[in-house]
Amino acid sequence: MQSDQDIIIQFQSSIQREQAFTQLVKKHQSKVYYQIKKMVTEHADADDIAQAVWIKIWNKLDGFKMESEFTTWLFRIAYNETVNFINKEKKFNGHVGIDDQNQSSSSQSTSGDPQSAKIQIKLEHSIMQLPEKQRVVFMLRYYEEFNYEKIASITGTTVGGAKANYHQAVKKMQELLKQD
Amino acid sequence: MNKIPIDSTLEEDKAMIEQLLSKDLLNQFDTAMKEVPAGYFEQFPESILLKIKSDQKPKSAKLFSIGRLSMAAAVLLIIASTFIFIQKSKTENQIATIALHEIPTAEIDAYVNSNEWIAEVDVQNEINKIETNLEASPLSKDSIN
Repeated sequence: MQSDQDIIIQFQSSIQREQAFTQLVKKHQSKVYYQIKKMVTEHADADDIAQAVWIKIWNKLDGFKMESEFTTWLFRIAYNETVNFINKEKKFNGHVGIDDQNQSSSSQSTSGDPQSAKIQIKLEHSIMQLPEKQRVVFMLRYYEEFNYEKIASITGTTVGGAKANYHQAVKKMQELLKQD
Repeated sequence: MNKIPIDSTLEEDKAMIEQLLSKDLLNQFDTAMKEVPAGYFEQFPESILLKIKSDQKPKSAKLFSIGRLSMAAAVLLIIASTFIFIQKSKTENQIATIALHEIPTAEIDAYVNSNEWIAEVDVQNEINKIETNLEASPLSKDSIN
């Protein structure tokens, strides 16, 4: 498979732009989608945001200078679009993601053990109650295993700030999980 | 959990959260979040390209139609201006032509004759003025002498 750099060069030189773009999408779409979905939980919302992200990539890829990794830039755009979406939702609906009425997707997917399902719901709730930045940092560190430099670039913070966000996220989840 | 370790490794960071929740539970959350409708990723690239193309079309169509309208308007303006200019010129010429043709010869003769007389009177008046000025000027006396 071609490297991101080669695909981007192909795109920027207008040689089969659509083909190059499709290659990029196929290569990275799932990671981007999963990252967004962990923030907003609903598929429809994640799909809307993912579409907005890739349309932005198409419009801005000509100006991408490859000074950073493509995935850093991609995740940065995904992070910004997700935060914008969440802020809009908060403004209009007052909340985002799981509430007590909605059955969470993780509780639906468990094997049927009620206790396990309860813990799953608690985990989801605790993650969703984290501030956006802490939530993203936690996801990127734990699930994507990104280093703090990359996380800092994505979230627009410093390395120290990213580390602090992770540890604060863990601490907050500890407090929330203790609550009944 | 008190001080934030400065150089915590990935394993240490992961262990921190796994102390609170089992690894299985965290993995279950990850799996649950990765549930997507069947065929979603297969159709996604194409649907994005379609959306990009449809977003681009209206703009170019608008520009194209605006351009065409502007061109048409400019051409019409040029044609209209040319027509008006030509019409005006014709009218002016026609007025001059009609005036000359329509005036009877007797009238023209009368006009010319009356103007000759007027012209003679004007010339005589000018001559009289000049003579008057010459008599009144002191220089003229000195110069005679």
